[in-house]
Amino acid sequence: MNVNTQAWGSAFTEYSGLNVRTGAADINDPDFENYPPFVRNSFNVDTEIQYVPIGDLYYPYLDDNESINLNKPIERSIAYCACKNMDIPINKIWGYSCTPDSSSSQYPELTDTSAILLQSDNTPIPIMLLDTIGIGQARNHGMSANQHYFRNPFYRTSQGVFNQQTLWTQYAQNEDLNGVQGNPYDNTGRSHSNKNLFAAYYRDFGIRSMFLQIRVTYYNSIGSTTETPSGFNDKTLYWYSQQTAEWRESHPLTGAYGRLIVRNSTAGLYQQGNNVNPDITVNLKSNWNFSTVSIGDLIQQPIANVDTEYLQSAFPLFGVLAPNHWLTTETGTHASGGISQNVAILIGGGENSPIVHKQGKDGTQYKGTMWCEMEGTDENLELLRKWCAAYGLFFTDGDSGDTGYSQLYAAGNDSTRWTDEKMCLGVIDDEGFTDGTYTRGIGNETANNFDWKTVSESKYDPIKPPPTPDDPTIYSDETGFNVLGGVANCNKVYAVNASNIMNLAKALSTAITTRLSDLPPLDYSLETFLTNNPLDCVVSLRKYPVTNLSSGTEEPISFGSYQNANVQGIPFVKSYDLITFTFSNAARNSLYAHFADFRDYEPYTHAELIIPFCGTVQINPCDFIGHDINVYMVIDYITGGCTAYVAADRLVVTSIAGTIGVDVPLSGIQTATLESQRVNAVMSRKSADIGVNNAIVGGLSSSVGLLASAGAGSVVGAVGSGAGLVSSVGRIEQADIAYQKADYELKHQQVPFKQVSAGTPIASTVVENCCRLIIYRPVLDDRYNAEVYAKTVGFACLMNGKVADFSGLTVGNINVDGLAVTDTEKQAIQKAFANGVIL
Amino acid sequence: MGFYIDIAYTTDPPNKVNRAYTIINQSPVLISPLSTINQLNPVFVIDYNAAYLNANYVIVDFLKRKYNAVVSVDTAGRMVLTCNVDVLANNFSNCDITVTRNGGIGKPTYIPDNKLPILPNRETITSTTATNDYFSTGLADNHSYLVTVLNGGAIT
Repeated sequence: MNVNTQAWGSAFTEYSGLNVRTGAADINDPDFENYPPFVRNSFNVDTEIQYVPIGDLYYPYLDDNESINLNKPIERSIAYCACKNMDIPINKIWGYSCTPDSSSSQYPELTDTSAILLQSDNTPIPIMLLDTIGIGQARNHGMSANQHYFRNPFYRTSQGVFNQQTLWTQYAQNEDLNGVQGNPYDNTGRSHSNKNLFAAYYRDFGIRSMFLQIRVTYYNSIGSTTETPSGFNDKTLYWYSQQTAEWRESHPLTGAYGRLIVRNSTAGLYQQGNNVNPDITVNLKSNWNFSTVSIGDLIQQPIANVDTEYLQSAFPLFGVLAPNHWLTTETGTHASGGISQNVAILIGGGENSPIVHKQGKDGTQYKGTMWCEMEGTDENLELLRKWCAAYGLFFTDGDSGDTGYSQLYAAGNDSTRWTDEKMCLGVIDDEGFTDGTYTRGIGNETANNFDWKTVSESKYDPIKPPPTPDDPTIYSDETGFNVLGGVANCNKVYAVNASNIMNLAKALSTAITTRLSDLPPLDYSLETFLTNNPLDCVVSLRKYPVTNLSSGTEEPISFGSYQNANVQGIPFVKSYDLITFTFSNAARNSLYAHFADFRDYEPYTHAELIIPFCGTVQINPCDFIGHDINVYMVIDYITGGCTAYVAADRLVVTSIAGTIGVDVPLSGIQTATLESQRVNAVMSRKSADIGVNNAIVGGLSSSVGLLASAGAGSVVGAVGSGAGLVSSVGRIEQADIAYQKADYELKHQQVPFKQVSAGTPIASTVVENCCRLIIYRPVLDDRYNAEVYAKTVGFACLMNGKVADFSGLTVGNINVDGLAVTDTEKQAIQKAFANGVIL
Repeated sequence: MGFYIDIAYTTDPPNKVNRAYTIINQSPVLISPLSTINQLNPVFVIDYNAAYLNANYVIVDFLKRKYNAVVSVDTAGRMVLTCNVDVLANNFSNCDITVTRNGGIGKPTYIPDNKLPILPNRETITSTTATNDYFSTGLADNHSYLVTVLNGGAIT
């Protein structure tokens, strides 16, 4: 049943989403029947569970001894996460009492001190009623010993958060903890601490409005000395460890708390949606109360802290304020400079926790019994950081001085504050969980929530379906790369620079400086042949986009057995490289669920990876949402090729090949060929030279014959011999021509050049030096109005249940069996539901 | 013994389950014997009363039903309430239902919604680079070349 808040009458006013009566309830009021059930209940009027509208949502009001089965999410409620499918008899969720303070503020509160949330077995209900931002709005008020308040952080006067009681919830637990209080983590190590039941209230609270400063308190447990909290400064003390039953000299850490630093936009910090004026400094200054928490495998062990000094205040940032314990806030002053007030923060404890009970060795040496102690080791301090990180807020472990939080706090530092080395940020994943992981300094920029201005930018929605169903695929499998490891080959590779290449080219072009007569003695060994043609020993010359492929000392490059002292390189022993490009899912640098609905998948959203030297590869969002995208690029230094394997986490999904090595053309003389040609040419010229000589000798011989014939009076013979002389002259000329030809060929010896590779287009080398992920997401029409759409069309879904489980416009198939109506009416009902009804 | 009805006015839309209404009559209205009574589409004839002219809803206890009604006046000056049973005035709380659309969800789900006004000709582009830059662009004169020589490693 919906409650018409207007019908509650003028006695009730809208109050930050809760309707609160400003005056005393009066059973004689004509509007009494329209009072909220918890009001009527105070007059012992039976009521039924009702839901109070807050905006277009409804929140349950439950009365004493009523129960609610949380088999579906309460809208915007963390409770479902903690209590799903549990029948939870509620002794009381909240009651009603209007206790105006001095400025007539009102708030809903539990009606009595025993009104805690219990399950049927009387263990506390593991319900999450906590908000990250639920840090101190109190001033001049404390949590009294017999009151428990629900906090309403958006109630502010025109002066800002002023004169309002801090309303703290008691519990902030997870479903796995079986009622143990105050643990910020569930058994998967995830935290809900950054979430809240009344998210709608806080949606516009600026994340960048604040940061936490972790401060620790060191106590001298022997005496009464309390060291002033001051960052993580070391305090060496002499103390007795109950845990180890020995006296130790170190620094027992007995307290830690967060100091919330809040400022408004005028001071540099982002502030939205509130009426804060002027700056707020929420000093979470107090001692703290150890309760029971755990992290990871630590087991909770309740710690009864009965020392009144500790009871005066506690830090329920994790909702760890124990039942019937309370906060006492520090009186602050409201001035233009800010408001000081106390609230709460860190906590720790557990059987295996560094926090243990501390009791005096002889029971008297200590300030009180059952003190808690935690040794201030680096490990423990890191634990504090992790606890603080669970809120998904900015925090610092910096000291209090000018170099610490004050510097971060200072106005005008907004551009550098969030990436300061002293600033950390609890990382929130896509589902809104934290796990204690935090980033620091410039690394903060990699966190999902770094750019969030308000908590509403979280994608967390308790009623959305889980983003991915259980998946049998093991994404953490090893990729299996490097199965064969390096492959030996018969070549030798050198890393060279441009200067080396010039020397190489020069040497290959001037390798032959010897004269023929200087040729070494004949040597038919393989080494000699390898020596003769150095260029033939060059297999490839490639450039890779990697700085200094190899380190070491340059040495002469061996071309077979030929070496030139001027040609040097650094031996390169690898045959491949494996380079990984990562798009982090945790840092929201991957294909995260942007809309957290169907639009995150194809065909609405599609994506591609641009991989250097390989090109573009299409990837399906459904394969990668929720995972890191890892691109494993294998560079083959033997061939210059590369292959990029695209993996979801470590599960390879697709691959693409490319070329990364740029072939550099290299030319030089084929020395052995040249020498061979030279030898042949020289030999030809010598042969021709001999031919010329022989021809001349032959000619002279013929002349002698001619003279002899003429002397003998033989004219005919002389004539015949004269013809022979002519023939000899012709041979001489021919021999001379042959000589000149051979000489010409020798002088115009063709130098046998050779080129290694034809080169690669340089354009292919002009690429980005890193992988790029491009995501194409759909766009809704600007005129789309979700609220109107919900009322007129409704959102597509597929849910089963009872009609009572749904509200608003509902379209579906209803089972009308059992309804006491006619068949005609049943058909009409089914038709009406098929067309859409308003529930 | 006569049959009585209650005449009401509602502003809730007809597809609202259990429409809220305001009864107009001061006391139950006696219907005329001229009325046609059945469970689904009764026509009630009553004495004229100007206060009922704007009525659009009728509650009939003796039929255990509520009706959407159209008021008219006949030639004899009597008011005629032509009714259709409001089948949604029922207790469906425990009825099983498979819901294919719902407004209470508040936002799209993982079920594709072909009615959502996604623009077919527009999209947004998000571009990110990997968290590590590997390939160097500053390769002026470093050992970024590899020369491979035959058997160079075998024979020296």
